[in-house]
Amino acid sequence: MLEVRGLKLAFGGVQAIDGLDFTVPDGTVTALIGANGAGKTSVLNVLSRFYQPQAGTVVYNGTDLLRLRAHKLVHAGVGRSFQNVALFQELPVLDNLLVGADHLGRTGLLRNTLRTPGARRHERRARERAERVMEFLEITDLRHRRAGDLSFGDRKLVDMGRALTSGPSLLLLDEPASGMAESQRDWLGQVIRRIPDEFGASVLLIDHDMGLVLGVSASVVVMDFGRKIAEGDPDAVRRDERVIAAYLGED
Amino acid sequence: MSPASRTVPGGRAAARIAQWAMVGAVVVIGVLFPQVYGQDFYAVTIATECIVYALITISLNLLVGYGGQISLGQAGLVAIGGYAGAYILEKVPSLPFPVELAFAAVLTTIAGLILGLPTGRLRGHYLAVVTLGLGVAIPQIALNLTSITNGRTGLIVNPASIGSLALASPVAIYYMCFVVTCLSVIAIHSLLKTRTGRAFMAVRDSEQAAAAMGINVQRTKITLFAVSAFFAGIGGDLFGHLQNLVAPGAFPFSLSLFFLAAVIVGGSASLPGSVIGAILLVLADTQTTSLPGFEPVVVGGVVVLVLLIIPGGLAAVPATLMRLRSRQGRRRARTGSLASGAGD
Repeated sequence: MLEVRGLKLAFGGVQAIDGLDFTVPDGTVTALIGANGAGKTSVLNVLSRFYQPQAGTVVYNGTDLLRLRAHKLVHAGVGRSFQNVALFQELPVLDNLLVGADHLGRTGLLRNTLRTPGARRHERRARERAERVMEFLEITDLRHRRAGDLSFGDRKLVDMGRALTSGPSLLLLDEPASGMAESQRDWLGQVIRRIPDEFGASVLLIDHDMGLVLGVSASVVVMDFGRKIAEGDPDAVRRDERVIAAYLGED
Repeated sequence: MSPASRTVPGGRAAARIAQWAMVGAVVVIGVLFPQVYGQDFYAVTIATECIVYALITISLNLLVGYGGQISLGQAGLVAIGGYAGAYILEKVPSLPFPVELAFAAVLTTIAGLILGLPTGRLRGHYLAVVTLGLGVAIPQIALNLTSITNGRTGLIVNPASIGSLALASPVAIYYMCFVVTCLSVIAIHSLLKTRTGRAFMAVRDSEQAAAAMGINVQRTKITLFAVSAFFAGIGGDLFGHLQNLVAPGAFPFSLSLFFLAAVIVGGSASLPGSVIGAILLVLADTQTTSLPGFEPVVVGGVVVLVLLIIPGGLAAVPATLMRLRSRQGRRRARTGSLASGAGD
């Protein structure tokens, strides 16, 4: 379980996150929603150690994530995707996913150069993982394409696939549906809902597409101006007056 | 999901066969060259120079093309390798060649590690200046460290030997450089296909995403510098044998630029590209010996010409041709359908 308590983050005078509490239970999809500028991506960047918060704690299964360096998070089981897709764009799709699995390998420079059995075993396992994820996300036919040549929607899928290949027990998805066509969003929603069962990972989903979020998540946290204004199951959130006022619009 | 919009370009198997055919052709030519031109010592020496420069260019391409780091001081690392090999051979003349080579490579790797430590935090212009400083400083150090380097005169490089076999003739040196370069390229190619190689390229394309995937960005950069230096050191040792002499004047700043130009002309992040780029520039350079003072103009001219025609470097030629052909094919198909439409 991920537990975030009293999180505060300011940039200069701007309070991006202002005392946020929420939890992501194991084996579920939890959504963090809010209008643009509500502080969602800031939360994700704190969780993945790109930003250092001024106050608060982030504990995942007993590990204090705020004490880890960014590249150690994936070892603690936390994988993430990026809002503006940060793919390894010169590499083919398959290699992007393989990098996700590479932290599981134990072979160093020498053994890799000599391609020892250990190095080859890692390659084989990484490939198997990547194949499974590509099949799950229906991007197998993109395998040899250069990541930078793909459409934005496909790049988002590769980004998500790379995070999934890293074998997380907690997957942080930053607006996975942005840039996708309507029909593709519905499909993606179903895919995300299957992640806990298929890969044993809980998901923290950040998006502002209400349709996607409410259809997929077991619970929803709503942010506005850095604060949590509502939390609960999708139906409760949909009826919450503050949420309607702040976010859904009054109609 | 519309599969039609993401069709995979075909012919991967064909491309792979073409690649292997090319590698085979290069090896056959490399092996047979002295058999044909063995009597022409000048030709053999130029060919050896092409081979050694190709290896050094590849070592720089690791850094620049695969790792996304800049270096203006590769000649400094080459100098360390050259001096290390010459020095140890002077002390132990009968030292087996592989040991001598390993000594030069390890010493240069240590220099690369030291260079890599601050560069883990530096990038862009700053890195360029630091590596430039190294490239300029090493020959100066060699000039003044006379007890080891013999100052301006430099060190005569004794012939390499394996057992009782002395590798002294131009043809022997050629084969020595050819075998070492081939083995190095195999090792580099192999490394690039593993998690270490992918980490280099991942850091190049996105440091943030690389960190999120568990890659220690700083350590990866230091490793990259060390690996690049290792092969530059090997190249430096061969360079010494090729010249029979290592002296401060043999490693000017312009040599670093020459290797960088070869990387760019050949195409960054391409091993065959570096080989072709190095050969092209060495040959261009040898054509200018009758025009003293004009070497940089000719080499620079070749760089500009290639980049004007093929911005991706020579390695991008097949892809560019393929794209042109498919565009032409499409155009033909379009005019064809128009014609048949008009006929209806």
